[in-house]
Amino acid sequence: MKKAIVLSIFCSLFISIRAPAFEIKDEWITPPGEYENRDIPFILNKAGVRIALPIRSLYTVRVFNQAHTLAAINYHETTDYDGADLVVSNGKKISILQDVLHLIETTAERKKILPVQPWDRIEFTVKSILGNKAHCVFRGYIFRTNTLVERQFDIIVGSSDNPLDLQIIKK
Amino acid sequence: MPLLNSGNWNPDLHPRDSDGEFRYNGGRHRKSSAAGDSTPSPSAVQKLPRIWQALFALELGQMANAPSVNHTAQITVTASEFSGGNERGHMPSAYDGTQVNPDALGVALPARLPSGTMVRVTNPATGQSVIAPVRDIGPHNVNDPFWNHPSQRPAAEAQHANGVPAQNGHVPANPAGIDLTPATMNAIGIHGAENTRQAPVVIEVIPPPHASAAARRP
Repeated sequence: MKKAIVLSIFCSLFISIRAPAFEIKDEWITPPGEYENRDIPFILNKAGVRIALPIRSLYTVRVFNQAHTLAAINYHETTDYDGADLVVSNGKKISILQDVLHLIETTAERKKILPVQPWDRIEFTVKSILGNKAHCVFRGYIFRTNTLVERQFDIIVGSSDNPLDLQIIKK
Repeated sequence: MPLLNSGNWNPDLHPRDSDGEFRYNGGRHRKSSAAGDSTPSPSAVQKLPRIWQALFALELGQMANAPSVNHTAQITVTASEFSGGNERGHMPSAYDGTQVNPDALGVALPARLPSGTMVRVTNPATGQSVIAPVRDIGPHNVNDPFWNHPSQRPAAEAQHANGVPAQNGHVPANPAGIDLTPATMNAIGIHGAENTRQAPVVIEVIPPPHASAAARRP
C-alpha cells in the first residue's frame, strides 16, 4: 500500500514536471466588431488560466520547442504583411512578444541581415524552434520592382525574465 | 454617428491595445443616414420616455457585437495590386484561409466585412466597372472602414505621407485604400506589369443581403 502511495506521488510529480508550461488552444468565437465566428487561439497556462493572444486577421502555422516553453504563432494580417507572435515562458511567467519582426527589424537592418527597402509585401515566418532558437524566414517584395528578397536567420530568445533580449544570427 | 458599446470582450487581456497598435473598436455599431437604417441616434433616444430608452438600449445592446454595413457612396481611392508576389496564388484569404486566386475577381479592404460583401470598382479613366467579392483584409490596415464616413480618407494616405506605421505595424509603401487582384485590374483596364500597378479607382461597398437586413432591423 505504502509503495502504491509513493508511486502515485512520484507519478503525479513526474506528470506535473513534464506538463508543458503552456498550450495554445482554439475557441470558435466572434471577436468584437466582427460578424462571424472564427478560430481564435489563446494561451492556456499550467494553472488552467486562459490568456488572450493578439487578434490577427488569420492565424496560420504554430510551432513550439520540445519543452513547450517557446512558441510562435504565425499569422496573415493584411494583403501586404504576414508576421509572427512569440510566446515565451520560464515556467512561472508567460510573455507575449507581438510581431517579432517589428521588434528585430532595426537591429537586423543595422547588422545587414535585412536590407533597407520600401517593401510592397512582407512574409515573415517562424519555421521551427529548437530550444530558445527560432528559425525564421523573411521574404520581402520590393515596392514597384516586385523583386523578391529572401533571408533566413535565427532569433535567440532570452528568458521570460527578459524576453526582449533577442539576438539575431544570420544563417 | 457612431454608437459606442463596450461589448463583452476584455481589452485588458489584449496586449496590442495597451500600445495602441491594435485598434479595437469596442464592438462599435456604425449608423449611417442611408435609407432603411432606422436605428435611432443617442440624442434622439435621450428625448424619449425612460421605458422607450430602456427598450432601445436593449436593442442596441443586442446589435453591439457587429457593426452594420450599408451600401456606401462612391469614393475615389488609390488601388494597388495583390497576387501573392512571385508565387502567384500563394496568399491566404483572411476570410476562409483558402488561397486567393489572382485570375479571379477579388478585392481587399482594410477592415473585416461580413462574408459575401461585394465591391463595385470603377476605373474613372476608362469607365470600365466590375463587381468583385471581398477576399482579404488590407492593404496596410485591419480596422479602417473609411467607406462608412463620406469625409474620411483611407488611413494609409496619411500614414504613407508621414512615414507612420499602419495597423499592421509597418509604414505603408503606398497610399492605397484597396487592393485588387490582377484579374480585377485587367477587367477595368488598368494595364502594366503584374504586382506593380497602382491607379485611382472609384469604389462602392455592397453589403450581402443578410447584412443589409440586419442594418434595417427596427
